[in-house]
Amino acid sequence: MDFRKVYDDHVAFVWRSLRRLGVGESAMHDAVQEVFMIVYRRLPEFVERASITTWLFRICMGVARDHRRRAHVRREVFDDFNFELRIDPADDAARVAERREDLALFDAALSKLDFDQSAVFILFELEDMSGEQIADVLAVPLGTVYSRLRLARQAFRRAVLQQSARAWNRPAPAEAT
Amino acid sequence: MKDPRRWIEDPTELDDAEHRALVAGRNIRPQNDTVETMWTALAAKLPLAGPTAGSAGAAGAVGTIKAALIGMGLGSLVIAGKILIAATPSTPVTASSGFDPSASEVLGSPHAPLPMATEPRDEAPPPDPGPAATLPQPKVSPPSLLGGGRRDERLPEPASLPEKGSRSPPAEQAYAASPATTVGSAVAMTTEDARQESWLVARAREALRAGQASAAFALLEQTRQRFPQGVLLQEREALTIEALVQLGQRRAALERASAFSRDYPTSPHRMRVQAIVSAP
Repeated sequence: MDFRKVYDDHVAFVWRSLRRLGVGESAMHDAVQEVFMIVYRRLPEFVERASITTWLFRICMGVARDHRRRAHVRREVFDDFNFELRIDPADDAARVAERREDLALFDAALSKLDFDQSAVFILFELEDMSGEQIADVLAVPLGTVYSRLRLARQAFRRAVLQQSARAWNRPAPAEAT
Repeated sequence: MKDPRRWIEDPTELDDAEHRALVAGRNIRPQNDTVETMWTALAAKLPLAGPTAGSAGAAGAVGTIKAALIGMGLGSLVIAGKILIAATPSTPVTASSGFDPSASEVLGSPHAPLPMATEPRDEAPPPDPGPAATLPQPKVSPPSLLGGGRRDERLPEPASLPEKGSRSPPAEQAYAASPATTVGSAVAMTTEDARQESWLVARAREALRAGQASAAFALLEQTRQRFPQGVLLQEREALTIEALVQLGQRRAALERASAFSRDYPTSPHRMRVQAIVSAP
């Protein structure tokens, strides 16, 4: 299997997986490189009949877990937004700001989830994987996947509610004079 | 057991904030240039010529030279000597003099570092710029990061360059040309060739960033003619599209962008190309 092709085909998946798994913006480049260094070393051992996405996500989980541990689970949620927003050229500044807020809300909510729960949530709700596929990725029974998904959804909802309430109660910025 | 419905498929399950957050999370993706930048950094760290870098085919060989070039460009380092790259696994990789350690040794070892010198050299410039005409702008920085060169070197400017709103013959020819789609069955490219190609593309990029779209376009055309299957083919094509946009040749840019997306669906430049032609 061609390393460059693996990179080209899957770097976006690796990027967003790491980002969603809680790797801070400032550590993203390092984390992506770590993943592909591992891929580079282990590619000869990779059996092609297995799903490469499954394999890559497992590597991402390991790297993300290390990064989170090193960062003491400190997420750099609001530092900046270097990842691209899908901005319609017709969007005005208000709409762009709104999208950034949505992303910050998502980021903050996901950070409240337990790591294993967030992995299930990411794969099911964001990557559209089936329960069976997720069970394969995480090497857990299907029932565990469903259980984690249920808990993750609850936690996500709670977190969104909390963030929304916080934003609601935040004093409005003083108007420029 | 049956999977539950995904939230995104059943928005009634979600309130507005939850839905917006979920959609935002689904739309996360790296910036256009990030993919390219990360590959550059990665390529500089890895000896991308071992068995995992490719299946020893032409693409792998090209990727090897490309990685080496990227490493040179980033770190202001030099690859010395010549590497003769063959496209087929059966064709041996050979190294000529001036390469220490030998290219073949380095290329054959998946864990060996790329051969790099720490000091830039002051030697003959990489490219033969062709026609004698000189280009006063953009400023040409010394190609030392590509292996040395004179600091006063100036770029060639072909006699006819496309101007905004006009379509000169060279430009017309270029518009009609679609990007090369595949690497040839056998790629024999020396490091010197690669250096020259890289130098030309780097100068074109500088010209483009300096607002010299015509000069950039001419340089890119020159690169295309000299190295039609060069290792920087995709970069060259992406820059050409950008130059065409700057020259006001949007239709031509769109056609080439379309061809680019078709020919290189997984290229790290694809998103950037799309962004360039999508920009208002």
